Amino acid sequence: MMRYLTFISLAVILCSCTPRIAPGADMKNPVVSEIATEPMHFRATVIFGDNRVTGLMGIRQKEDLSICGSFINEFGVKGFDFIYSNGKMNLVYIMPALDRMMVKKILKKDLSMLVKYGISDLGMIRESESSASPKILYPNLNNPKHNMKAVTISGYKTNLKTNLTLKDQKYKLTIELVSMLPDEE
Amino acid sequence: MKQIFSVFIIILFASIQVDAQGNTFNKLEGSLKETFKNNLYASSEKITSLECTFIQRQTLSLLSDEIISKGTMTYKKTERLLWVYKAPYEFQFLMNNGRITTKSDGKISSFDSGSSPLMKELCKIMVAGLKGDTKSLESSFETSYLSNGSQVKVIMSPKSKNLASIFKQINLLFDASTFLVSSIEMAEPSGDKTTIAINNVKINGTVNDEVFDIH
Repeated sequence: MMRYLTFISLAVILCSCTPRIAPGADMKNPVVSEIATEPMHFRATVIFGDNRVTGLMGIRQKEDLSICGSFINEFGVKGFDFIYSNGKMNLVYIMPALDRMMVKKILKKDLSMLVKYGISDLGMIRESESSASPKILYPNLNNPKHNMKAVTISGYKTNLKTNLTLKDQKYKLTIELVSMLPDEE
Repeated sequence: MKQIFSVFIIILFASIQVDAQGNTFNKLEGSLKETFKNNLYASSEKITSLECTFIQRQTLSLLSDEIISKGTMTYKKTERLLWVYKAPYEFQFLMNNGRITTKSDGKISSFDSGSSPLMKELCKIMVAGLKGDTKSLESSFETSYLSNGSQVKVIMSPKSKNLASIFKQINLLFDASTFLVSSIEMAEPSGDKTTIAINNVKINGTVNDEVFDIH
């Protein structure tokens, strides 16, 4: 009887120590509180070489901690949909005009970095950062893993709006996101 | 006999559609369809200018989300369309005789509509939809007409592969008596949908040419 009680107690203790969520052993996405309950909407500008496309980007974190995003132009025509999960970026939809292997490769890489080092670190951007001296989210010079020198991700806050910018000098791609306030949406 | 009856029932139900509001739409065929098309076209021919407000709802299925935009549209013969978004942020789009100009965040860019087939087609759909000139879209879309008595829904399916890769289906909803458009619904292959509700339509009012100057 005593042995059973010990077993049950141990089982209860172990259960109570189970991590909050464990969708997979290699799960890498942290909880991003800003997008965990409601999607966040950004005014988005994508500059690719000499081409400039504006629109809206919605980003939200799902219950399995994957981070999903949709980019649409002002008229509602979708540019792309992505899901970032377990450290991997998946472009689940891309509009036919952009459906080129090279474009997809660059977008996947840069969106992956934007989510990993920008969206995931939204909470690190403070009002004290300005457009003149933004918070550099990537690269962190103290982190030897941050070795993609052509890519910079920075952010700042102004009038309660979060500004996030990725610049990829190698492929001349810039993604600018400016969060929208609830009364604008 | 039983089989013939079954086929009749299937055909009858296949020609009936029920929309989200529960309205039952029956397919217009033969002379009824031709009469409506001709009346719609005749009405569109009389339109020299059109001003309206709109509310655009874009569903994002991946995010279980909806983005709402609001603004105004101004059309003036021939082929000038100004689309002004006022919320969630200001954005202007002008189609002026084959030239597209946009203004976003204070930045103006202008280009030939031929360089953006998507925008050109979108403008064509919007102008034809606003005016009610569905005949001009028949070269690009298979169209069918349905009515619930007070409204006529025009269902358009793209004919070309290129267009079908952007639009799965476009539905235009017209008032059956005034022939004015009340909504434009665009379904994408991805499953997302954009619905533009058209309100406060003013036909043939004075629209100054200066309205179409973006600076």
